[in-house]
Amino acid sequence: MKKNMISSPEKVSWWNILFGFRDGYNEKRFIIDYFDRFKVQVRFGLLISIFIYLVFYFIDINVFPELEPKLIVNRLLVSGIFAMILGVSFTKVFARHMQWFLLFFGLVAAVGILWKLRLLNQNGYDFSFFYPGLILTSAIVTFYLRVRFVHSALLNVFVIAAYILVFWVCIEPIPSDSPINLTQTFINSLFFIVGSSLLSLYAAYYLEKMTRNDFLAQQHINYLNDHLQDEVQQRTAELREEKRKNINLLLDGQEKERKRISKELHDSVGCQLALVKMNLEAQQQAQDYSGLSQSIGAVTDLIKDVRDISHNHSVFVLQRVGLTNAIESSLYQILPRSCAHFNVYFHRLNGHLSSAAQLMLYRVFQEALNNILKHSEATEVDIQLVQHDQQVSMVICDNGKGFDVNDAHHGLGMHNMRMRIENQLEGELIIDSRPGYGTTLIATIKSEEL
Amino acid sequence: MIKVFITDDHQSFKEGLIAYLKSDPEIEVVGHAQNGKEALQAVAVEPIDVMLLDVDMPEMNGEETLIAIKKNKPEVKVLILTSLNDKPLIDSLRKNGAEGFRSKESGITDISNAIKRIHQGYIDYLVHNDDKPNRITIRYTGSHLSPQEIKVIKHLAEGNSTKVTAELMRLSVHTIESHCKIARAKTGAKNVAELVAIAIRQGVV
Repeated sequence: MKKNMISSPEKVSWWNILFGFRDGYNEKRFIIDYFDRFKVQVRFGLLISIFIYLVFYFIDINVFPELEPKLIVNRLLVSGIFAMILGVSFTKVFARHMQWFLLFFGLVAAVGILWKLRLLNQNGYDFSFFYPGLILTSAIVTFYLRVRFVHSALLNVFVIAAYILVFWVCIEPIPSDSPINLTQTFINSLFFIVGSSLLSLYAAYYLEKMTRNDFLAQQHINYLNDHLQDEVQQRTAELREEKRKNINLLLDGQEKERKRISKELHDSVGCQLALVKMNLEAQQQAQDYSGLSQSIGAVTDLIKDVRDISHNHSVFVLQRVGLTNAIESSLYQILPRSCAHFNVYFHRLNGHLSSAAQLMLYRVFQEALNNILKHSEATEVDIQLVQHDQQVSMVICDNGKGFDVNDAHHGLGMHNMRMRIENQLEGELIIDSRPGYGTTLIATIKSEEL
Repeated sequence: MIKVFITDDHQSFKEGLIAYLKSDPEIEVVGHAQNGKEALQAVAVEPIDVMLLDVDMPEMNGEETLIAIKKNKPEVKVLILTSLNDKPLIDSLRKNGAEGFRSKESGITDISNAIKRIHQGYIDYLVHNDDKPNRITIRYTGSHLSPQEIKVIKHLAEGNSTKVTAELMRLSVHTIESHCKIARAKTGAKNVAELVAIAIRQGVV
């Protein structure tokens, strides 16, 4: 059993956020799970980005009409790449490397904005208002597209670096007599860009931490579920095994009964029939029928024997006459060949006993009676059938020679019955005996009230 | 007084039996008959507690008479007295409702005992097998305590613990406890003390 494998979920540390889970398999599953969880949101985010980018195009051509052809190239190219990423998001490659695609998306968006910045600057416009575009990119990538902390950090570093670079590239063409203080504008914008970058990094860190915790908790729940399933399966297998054993016991009983009947049929009925046949044939040959009445007598005996054999077939007897009558009937049958006094008491038997319980009690009774007749040499036998507290007890006491209950050779049949009473009928079977002190048997079985 | 009617075609046996039963103060012989037909006429008019019935009789045999009595007056207890002694007959007599069975060899003393027992509601069958008497007595319902239960209660009444009782009777403690439980259920006693009290009141201890 893998009982203590995952007893409690692992805690996520900063290490995990930077380098992933230590367990490579777990990390792989986390990536797939991450994609499955956010794919709809990511695609929606990409769609919104395309939309916003195109909306700004219409604003731009109104504000800077003379730049229209160059702006179209910028806007359409960037939007086109966005659309391509959106298309790729339905492939397996995207599922495995979503973070890198999103990083690429961020880069394209930033480059697009910086490119436009350069365009405006080349045509004599001030670019101080365009840092909000970079902040927006960072926000979209972090919050909408759920970029992981590492990728978010890379992107932000790149955006800041690019901004600084573009500033240095742009600074040259601006005339020195321009009223704009470029250095002031740069420092002012950089402050906002760096500030927003730090905010989005912070958010990315905690979002990833939450997601990873969720993932681990889910893994743990899955594990517990699997474990539960294992347990249920194991228990089911155990029950099936138990049932199979019980059926085997039952089949054993039936097999024994069949063997007994076939043996009795063969030993007594078969042999005697053969004798009768021989007698009749001899009479026929000799044409002397004086022995006919003897043959008829033999056939009458045979009829009796057959009746006895079928009487012993306990199931039929019970079905026909019920437990008390079956017990009585057995006693009358053994009466002429026993040497004991039987005192029988049936007390208040108004509860309903299931046929299985009746059969069991009858079997115990027969086994006990058999032992008493064969081995005990008892002269007094008390048999009681008592109903009490939704139970039925059968008590059989004899004053015979008793036996050692610890001796394994005694009562193998009783041992099997005890197993069945205890396992199937919520009852117990006590057999108490000592050499020289008789035997007491108490079988108790649950009775079902009507 | 137990009202007894005797049906037998064997005249000398019947006379001997009547003479003996008359000496028993608890038994009153209210009549006798030669065969089943006469017996049925008597049953129809006279109040009878126990019918003594032979099996092998002319006109109407004992088994037919038994069936007729149990059909018309089931409250009349029937004790079969016969010299026949085979097991299908005994089983069939019991199935037809005979409360008692005695073979004629068993002796007169035992017959009066049998009459009293079946009058009390017992079923009492006694058969001789190689001169050894074998007997079945059956009792339905009632709070009758079995001999072993009475022994257990006697030991408890003398102040012995369950453990000591078990040792004295050479039984396990669990068996003694089961006996007590069953005896309490039969008598309706709430605890062992009440069980002992009931047993003393019944006069069995």
